[in-house]
Amino acid sequence: MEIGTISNIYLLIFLPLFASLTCQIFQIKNFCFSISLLTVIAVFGLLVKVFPDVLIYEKIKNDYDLSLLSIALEFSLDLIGIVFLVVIIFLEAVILIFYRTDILKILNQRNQSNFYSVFLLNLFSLVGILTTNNLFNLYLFIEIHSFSFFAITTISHNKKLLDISFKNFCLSAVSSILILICFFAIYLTFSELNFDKIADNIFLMPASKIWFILMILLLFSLALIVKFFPLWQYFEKIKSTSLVASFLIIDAFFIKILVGLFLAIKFIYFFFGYNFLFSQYQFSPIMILTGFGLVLYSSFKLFKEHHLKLICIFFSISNIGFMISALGMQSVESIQSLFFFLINFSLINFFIFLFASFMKKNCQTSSINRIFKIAFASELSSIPFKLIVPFIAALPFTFLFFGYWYMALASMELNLKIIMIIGLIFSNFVQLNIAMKIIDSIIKNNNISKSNLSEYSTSKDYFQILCFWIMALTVFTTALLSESINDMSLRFASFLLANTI
Amino acid sequence: MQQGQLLLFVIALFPFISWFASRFFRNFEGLYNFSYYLFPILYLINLFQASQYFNLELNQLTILEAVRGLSMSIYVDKLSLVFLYVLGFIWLLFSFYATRYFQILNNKNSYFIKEYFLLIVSFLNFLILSENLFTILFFYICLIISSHFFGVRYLNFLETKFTKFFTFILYLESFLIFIATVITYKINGQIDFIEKIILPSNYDQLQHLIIFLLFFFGLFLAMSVPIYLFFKNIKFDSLILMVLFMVSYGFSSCFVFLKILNYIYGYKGLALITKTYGLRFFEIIVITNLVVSAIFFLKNNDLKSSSFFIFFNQFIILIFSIIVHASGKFNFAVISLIGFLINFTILFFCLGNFELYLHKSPNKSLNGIFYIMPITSVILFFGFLSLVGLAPSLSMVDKFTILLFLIKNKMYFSITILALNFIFLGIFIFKKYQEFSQKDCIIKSDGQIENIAIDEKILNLGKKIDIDSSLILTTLFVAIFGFIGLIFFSYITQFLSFYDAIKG
Repeated sequence: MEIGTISNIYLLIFLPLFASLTCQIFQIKNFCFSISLLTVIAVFGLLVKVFPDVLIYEKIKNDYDLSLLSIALEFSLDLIGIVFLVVIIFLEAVILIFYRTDILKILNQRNQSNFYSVFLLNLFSLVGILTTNNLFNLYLFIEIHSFSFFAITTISHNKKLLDISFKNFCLSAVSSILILICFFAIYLTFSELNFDKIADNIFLMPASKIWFILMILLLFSLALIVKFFPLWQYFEKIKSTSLVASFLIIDAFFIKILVGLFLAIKFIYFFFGYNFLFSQYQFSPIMILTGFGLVLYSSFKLFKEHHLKLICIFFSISNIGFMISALGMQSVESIQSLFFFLINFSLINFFIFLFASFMKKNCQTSSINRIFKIAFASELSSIPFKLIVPFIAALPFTFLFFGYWYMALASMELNLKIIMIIGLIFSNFVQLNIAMKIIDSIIKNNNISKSNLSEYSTSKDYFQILCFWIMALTVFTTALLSESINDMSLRFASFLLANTI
Repeated sequence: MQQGQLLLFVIALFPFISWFASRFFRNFEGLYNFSYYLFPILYLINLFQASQYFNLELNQLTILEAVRGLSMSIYVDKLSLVFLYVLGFIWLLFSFYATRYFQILNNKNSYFIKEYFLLIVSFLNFLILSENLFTILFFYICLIISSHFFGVRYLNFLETKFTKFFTFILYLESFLIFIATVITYKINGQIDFIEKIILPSNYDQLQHLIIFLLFFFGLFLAMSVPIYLFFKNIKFDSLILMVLFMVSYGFSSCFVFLKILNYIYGYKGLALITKTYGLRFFEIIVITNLVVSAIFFLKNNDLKSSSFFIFFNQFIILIFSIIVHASGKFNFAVISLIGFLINFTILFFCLGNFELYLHKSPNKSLNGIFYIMPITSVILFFGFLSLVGLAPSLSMVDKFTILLFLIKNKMYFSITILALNFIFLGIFIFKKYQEFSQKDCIIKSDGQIENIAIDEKILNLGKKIDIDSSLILTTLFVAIFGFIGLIFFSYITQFLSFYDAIKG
């Protein structure tokens, strides 16, 4: 392995930490934002640089074996990790730009520095979670992530939001304890904290002690759901116009879920493994049915939903449902569909949520029937959203279409898998229905006058508009590179299925 | 890119370019109208030129590829070429007719419907050129979305409600096509038409039937369940009926059906399905729809509403004709579709003339219209006769052969229903022409009935519309073509003759 690649990976792990410290030290106007942005871009650039190497070697790892705990000096970056990292860092960059003006307005100089410092610390923890190969380090990074998340909430002066965040923090603490128990149990059993070594030793475990793994599975799943899928906790604040609420919800609904999905995939394939989950114990039907249930639930909810933020959340739940089913199906096609649902979730749903926040801020509403106001008042901000509509409608060559395509291919068997076809019908229909509602609302644009726009805020936030264009360009570029993306999905699926224990 | 491919690309993009151009020229009326006439002419010339190359050179072009077998590709075969000409022909006629129609009507929304038609033509053009099921699916969904868009933007509340419901059914249809495509891909690993028969006839027949049903309902679910009956008060304008239902839905779905029957199953595969499972299921669908639509067009007094039901009545006969003919006489199936398109172009153009008259005239009744607009009335009469299947119209072919097929297979109940349908259509024509030739009259004190002379102004207005060159010449042209269409029958049969070779 080239030393350059390894140094790049170390750099991308530690750069956010150093940048965070710099923000704390130099509290100069605009400096912290610039440092944060440059750091995120640099991390993204490093990832792009390392990406071809990961594609070639599939897994790049390094450990100086200084001690058992070798804090943050031990990493392992594989195909799954880098895909998630690229997506998460990209989203973090967009979030940073999107909330720039709001943060400038709401926070004073001191708080701004704190905010960006915490933001970078959060980024450091995210990179750490996705690259570490050591259970202790993983626990450490998860804790840093929880603390930094909670630290951001303290900026808010909204009592309700603080209450919710405190509840979230308490639950997070409980799940941390569960994770700690799991990791401690693993250490006591295998006397190892290195992920690969544990995976190698898991075969040596006597059959009579298999219940032990089952217990770990149960506790870890519970901890993962509570910590990384906190969908229900922020539901009541989802329509809030508060900047901090919006920021936290985006973080909770997108970044946390992505990290949760990554950990779920990592542990399913490289810790518990195919033999244990799908051969010894039949977890496949449970996962398929859970996914199917989520898809149906979100489809029914979406049918009459008009609030764009909630629409986005139900879209996300539907995508997660499909991903869970895909994991349970255990075929190349199903994992390929998981890959596309993941991209759809990260790009399209995220974009819808950003647009909804923008609407809420400017029109005091994010109802789907009021999109015409944005379309009428600001072409510059509405065009990217209009361009995204085919992706919501799941037209061929969109991410969602390929997700459906591979899911349908994986479901065409005469067993439980076939119920996902029903899920596909419902999901496809509501997606199209929502796309049509958006078109209907945009068409209203021609029938309104300026007097109807009394409550529209005329001030333009160019940072937010820039974000929309970045998202739209990314979406279209990715869609146009469909051949490469399909190849990537195949690599992703092959890597998971070939390397599972 | 080779010359054949370049020409193909130009043909594929031509209607789109015209759509963009029309949007661009909207503020320059003269230029707008000129380009609106010019583009279809250029398209047909280009097509004629290009067709020389298609026989010689590579005629396939991949625009975007996802994985092997999943791509957006276009290509031309003889079937596509025939329907490209048909599309160009309809485009040309519509351009001439609609421009004049909206000039007389002075409708502020005329730009919108004309541009919408161009958009439909663009998608349909791509659909005809599609090389695989994936591309077909893409453009079929584009057509659905644009129909929805049109319904919401242009139509009134009741019609919008119907269009939304209609597009809702079409969404379901598109999903069934999606599933059928996935199954086809799954069992055969490819969905390209260029590879000829996709599903070999030695495959599991039940599997074939399931895919066939998925495709069938994926294209004709809206027709199979008579949903149009839930909306009795729909009075679409004739040009909207033409664009929305005839071109956007009828033409596209029937063409795709022809292509699927031809390339997915081949004649032998289809013949085996019909032999193994029979046609009973389709027969029931056809009979139910025929009876219901016949009752509705007879019961309805309004000519617009009746035409709406007649359209569906004839459409279901067309679908049956395609199913019956596709496994043996493919050229008859092609002729049936062409005949259907020509017949309804005549019908809608004639109705358009009447609508113009009703719109301009203080007289809002069609009583005595035969004396006011004799040319249009006569052409419409021939149009109706053509619908019944009178020789030598193109429609005669499918009606006659369907009857032959039913007699041969001793499907007596269906024969009775079909015959009754023709009789109902005859009664409808008789009733309408009685109304058309009925003059307003007064009853004198001595009990005698005296006809009232038609007001000079109304008469002049009617005559003006009736002899308007753009309107009547286009209508007459289609009528002549429809009525002497059988002359072209042998030509089309000969052109499509290579299909016999792949019957298997």
